[in-house]
Amino acid sequence: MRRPDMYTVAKLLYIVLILFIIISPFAFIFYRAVTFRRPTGVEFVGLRFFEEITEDYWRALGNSLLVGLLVALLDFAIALPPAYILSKYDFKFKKVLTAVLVAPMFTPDVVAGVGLSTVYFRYYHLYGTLLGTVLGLASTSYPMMLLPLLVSIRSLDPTYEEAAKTLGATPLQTILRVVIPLIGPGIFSGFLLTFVWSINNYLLPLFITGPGIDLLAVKLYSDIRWWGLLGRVAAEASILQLATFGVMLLYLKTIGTKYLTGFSF
Amino acid sequence: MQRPSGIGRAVVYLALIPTVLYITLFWIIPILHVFLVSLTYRNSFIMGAPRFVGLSNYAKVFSEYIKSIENSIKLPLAAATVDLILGYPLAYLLTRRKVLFHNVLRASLVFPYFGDLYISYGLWNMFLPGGLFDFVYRLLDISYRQILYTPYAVVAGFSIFTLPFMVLYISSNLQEIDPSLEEAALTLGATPIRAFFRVVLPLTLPGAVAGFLACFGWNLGGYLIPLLLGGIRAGDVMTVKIVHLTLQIHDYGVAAALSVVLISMTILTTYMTFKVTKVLR
Repeated sequence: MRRPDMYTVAKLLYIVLILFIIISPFAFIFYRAVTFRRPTGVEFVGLRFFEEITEDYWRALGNSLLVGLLVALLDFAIALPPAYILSKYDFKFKKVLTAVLVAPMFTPDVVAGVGLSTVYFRYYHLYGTLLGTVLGLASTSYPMMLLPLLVSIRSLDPTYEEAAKTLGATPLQTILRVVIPLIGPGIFSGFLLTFVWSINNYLLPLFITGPGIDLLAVKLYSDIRWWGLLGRVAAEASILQLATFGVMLLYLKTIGTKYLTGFSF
Repeated sequence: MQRPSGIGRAVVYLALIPTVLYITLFWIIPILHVFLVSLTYRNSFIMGAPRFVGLSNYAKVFSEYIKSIENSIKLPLAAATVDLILGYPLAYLLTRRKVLFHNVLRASLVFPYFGDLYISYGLWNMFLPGGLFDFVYRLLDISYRQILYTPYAVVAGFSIFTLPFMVLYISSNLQEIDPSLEEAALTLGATPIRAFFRVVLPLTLPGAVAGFLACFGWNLGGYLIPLLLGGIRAGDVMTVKIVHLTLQIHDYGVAAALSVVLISMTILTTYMTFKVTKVLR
């Protein structure tokens, strides 16, 4: 190779730059959570700010985890039938259906929020309820379940299903006993993505959840807006951030980046 | 691929009913309602009887809020360009070469995916006095306000937020290209640079375009990043205005008209992304 030194150095610098750019905002929140700034200098305060976190934060955490779990389950129920049908059959309006099914992912949460809150107020009477929150969050997150499922069902070898059919299984049995176990990684991927997505979503709940139910991301959002300089808020953000990282690391360890876009070229 | 026939067809269509019903109730109807609300006066649609005022809300949007629309296009476009420049080499290195910190890099890429909350808060803290950039301010002898609360800060936040999309789109495009094409070009006497520009770049163009569109589209909906990092003037984008108009002023009419402008732009971007990728094929 010609001029290996310059190339290697440039590559290394570039990688360090990218790592710094991506990691520093996240790392700085952790740093803020354990330090206190005085005019004389920065003081390490350990976990003092974490102890200042109040009871309602933990209640909100419970609510958020419940909502995230319900959203992921609902997403799975909504996304499995179309994922299976779209990857196995060909029919009229298939393209239109695919587009309509994937498009919600690209809807800005603000627009979904304005739309959902007006119909919730006027017709559905779901404003401020847990059910309304789950149903609303699922509407913009289920494509994240659908795309991994589509990818994994498409790459499934059809001979397994044919074998099951030949051996006398009904279509429902084939799906439950053969297809679902084989597409396990796709399902797991969809679950983690939609779960993390919904526990971190503050914008849609701002419109549809109302003040009745405390959700962690919403609480964090308003704390950041009004009390952003307090160490306690940095500590609060650190906890949700750690939970998110934990789930995403689990995701990368088990699945990798294979299903993250779902698009092919 | 098979076409369903006879009883199979009935089952196929029946199985789709719950999903289609759900999407209709919780996505199509709300979005169509945004159009309807955009024709009504203030919050008359949700409180009492809707009072239709024609297109006057749109007139207001295109006179008073034109600045927000302009910012909403400019800032994400700038961010998508930054992402393309920063992300293309990264995607190439991650798919074709084994680099230092390979796994750390790959893992860190996923973090911004969900971290709109953390990126804006973290960057805001870093830019504030007493943050990480204190030495830069001292070195250049500038006030922190010459960085924070300017379009540059917003573009920085946006581009960190969407960098993973760019890298993922380009690298999934690169993975589908046979590395032997590049090797062939090199064997036939092309310099590495020439091989890259004549072989790899044209083949990854769909990925780059899709990544660009995706970055643009995601940032169109970004809310907290312009709000925290841009402040009142630089962060004056459509999403911030919509939230302000609905949750604080309760002027749903104008907010819905702005939302219609925003969703039209998103739908157009998404449609182009679909055209470039094979998701609809």
